[in-house]
Amino acid sequence: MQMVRNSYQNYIPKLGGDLATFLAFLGLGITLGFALSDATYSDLHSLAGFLILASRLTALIGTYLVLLLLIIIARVPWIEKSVGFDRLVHIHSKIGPTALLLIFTHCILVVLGYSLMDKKSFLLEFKEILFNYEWMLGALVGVIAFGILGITSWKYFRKYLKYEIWWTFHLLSYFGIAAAFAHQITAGSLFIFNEVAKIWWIALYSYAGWTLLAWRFILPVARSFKHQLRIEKIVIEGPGVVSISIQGKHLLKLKAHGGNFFEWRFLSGGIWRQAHPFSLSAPPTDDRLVFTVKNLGDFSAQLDSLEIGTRVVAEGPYGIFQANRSLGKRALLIGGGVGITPLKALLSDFDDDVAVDLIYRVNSDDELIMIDEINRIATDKRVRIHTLVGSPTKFPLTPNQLLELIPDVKECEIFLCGPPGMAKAVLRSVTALGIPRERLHHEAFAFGIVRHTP
Amino acid sequence: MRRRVIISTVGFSLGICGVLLTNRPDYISPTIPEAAQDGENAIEVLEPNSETLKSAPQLTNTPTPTSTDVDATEAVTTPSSKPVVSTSPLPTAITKLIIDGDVASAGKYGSVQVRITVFNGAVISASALIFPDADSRSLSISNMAIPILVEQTIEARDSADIQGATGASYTSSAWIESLQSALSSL
Repeated sequence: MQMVRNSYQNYIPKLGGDLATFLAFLGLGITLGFALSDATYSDLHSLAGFLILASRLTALIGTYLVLLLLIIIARVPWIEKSVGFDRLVHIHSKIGPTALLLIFTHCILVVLGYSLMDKKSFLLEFKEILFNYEWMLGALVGVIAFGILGITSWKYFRKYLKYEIWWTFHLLSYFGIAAAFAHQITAGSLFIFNEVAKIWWIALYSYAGWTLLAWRFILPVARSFKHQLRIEKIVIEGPGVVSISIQGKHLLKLKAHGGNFFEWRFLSGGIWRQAHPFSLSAPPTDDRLVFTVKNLGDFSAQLDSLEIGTRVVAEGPYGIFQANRSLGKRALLIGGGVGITPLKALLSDFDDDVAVDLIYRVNSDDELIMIDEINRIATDKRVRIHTLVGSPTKFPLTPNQLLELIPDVKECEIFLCGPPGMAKAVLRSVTALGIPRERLHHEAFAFGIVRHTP
Repeated sequence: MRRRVIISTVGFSLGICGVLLTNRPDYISPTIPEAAQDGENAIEVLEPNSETLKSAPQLTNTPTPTSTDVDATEAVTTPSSKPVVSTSPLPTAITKLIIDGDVASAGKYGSVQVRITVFNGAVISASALIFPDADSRSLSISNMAIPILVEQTIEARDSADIQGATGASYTSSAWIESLQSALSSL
């Protein structure tokens, strides 16, 4: 795996992100355009008409955003590669609440608007709408599913919930989206009268549904069986740090690089519902993938139930953490704790003419995992290793400390993987040093602890 | 960052302008037959084998009678295999009547006026000349209900005893009222 030097290739990620942004906003424009082309001046004559128009707009934009949320987490390869898994998840969590609020607003406005128009009480109108139109019960089921989803994903409740419960409710939202679809087509006056709008809407729904099904279900399952992924061995690397190697066939066809990660699902009773984003800690070979985890949280208990030969389903490879993202001749890798694992895999991917510095920060000596292997790679390449052993207060990674260690830090392409506190500190320092944000590649999800992803 | 803002703005504007410029929603109203002047009932007397009979698709899937001595009334009613008591005032020829009912009130939603075409005593087509269309909701209800009412009216052949469309009670009862007045003028 050579670092790609071709400048055209290097622009692909950037262009992909631009294209994805463009398409997302184009779709939003089209949706809003249909909604507005349907509006008439008479809608604005009365408060009721205005409310009904507003309810239609909120419904369309809200549902568009919901479909966008599905596409964002559908792991469409080109979007994934260009934007990056962690940023997509971040965007997903930012848009999510807006989408749900718009849909709830739609429900309230539609009943309020028609109750004003018909001069009936809110509750009576609610009942009439529910029973006089086709598929309104489906819509009610959908909005209830969204309500549960919103509550279970809200951070104040989220921390009390087990991953499986949260995950189940997230799956329930797929059902909600499907249940609400019918009422849009049969009762939404925009789609009844406007054939083109109807085609656009159905196409949008189908695209979201198919990408989700294809990339998140069919592909991983098919791969697992095609490549015969099974646990080969489990090795203790240090205190609480475990490497798991997965055996399989023709694994190079997966086109994984060092620094990429997969969402692993172990098909063993009780834990198959959990997917863990663990990054590769060694460059992949044709018959073996290795990842390393610090067994924190729920996963430590589950490790015991993992047996050699357990079938594995892998979604991936994900992650923009690739040496070919680097455009310069200088690279700085900053790893904290078990965050070193994707960086170790990344090290071997750099071209020989790139000068690499590696900052490896841990709290104590026995946490210094994989150091022998890293030293071995370092001797073959132009890699300088700076190990910082001590508490975060001793090595806070301030701008001055970074400059002291790496005098030409401003020239470097920076790859960062570590615990949230450390990542924040580095982010602050990078900003303070005036290094452009594009030069910092931060892989939040490759950090090898158990983490919950949608 | 600024580039992304420009890209998103361009994409959004392209989408919204593209749709607004190219897409004019056509509100498909229930079809109004072009025959007859408004307000007056037209009577059309047809000879057997006339062009109109040949092109009456609602009535027959069987070949149009070719020989002149076949009774046209029989030829027309055979496909439905239900004998029909002909109330036609002109038993020797086939009569096609286009009748407009009275304008009936559909409460606060507006009013309904039915136009029916009676062929040999049975309603063969029906449409609404006036229907609730003041706002998009009424339009959507009309659009849903009128095809159902048309179908029920044709099925009932010569009576206004139809069930009506669920979810459109005002429109349905106004339809029945207008239909009744149209049938009573037969």
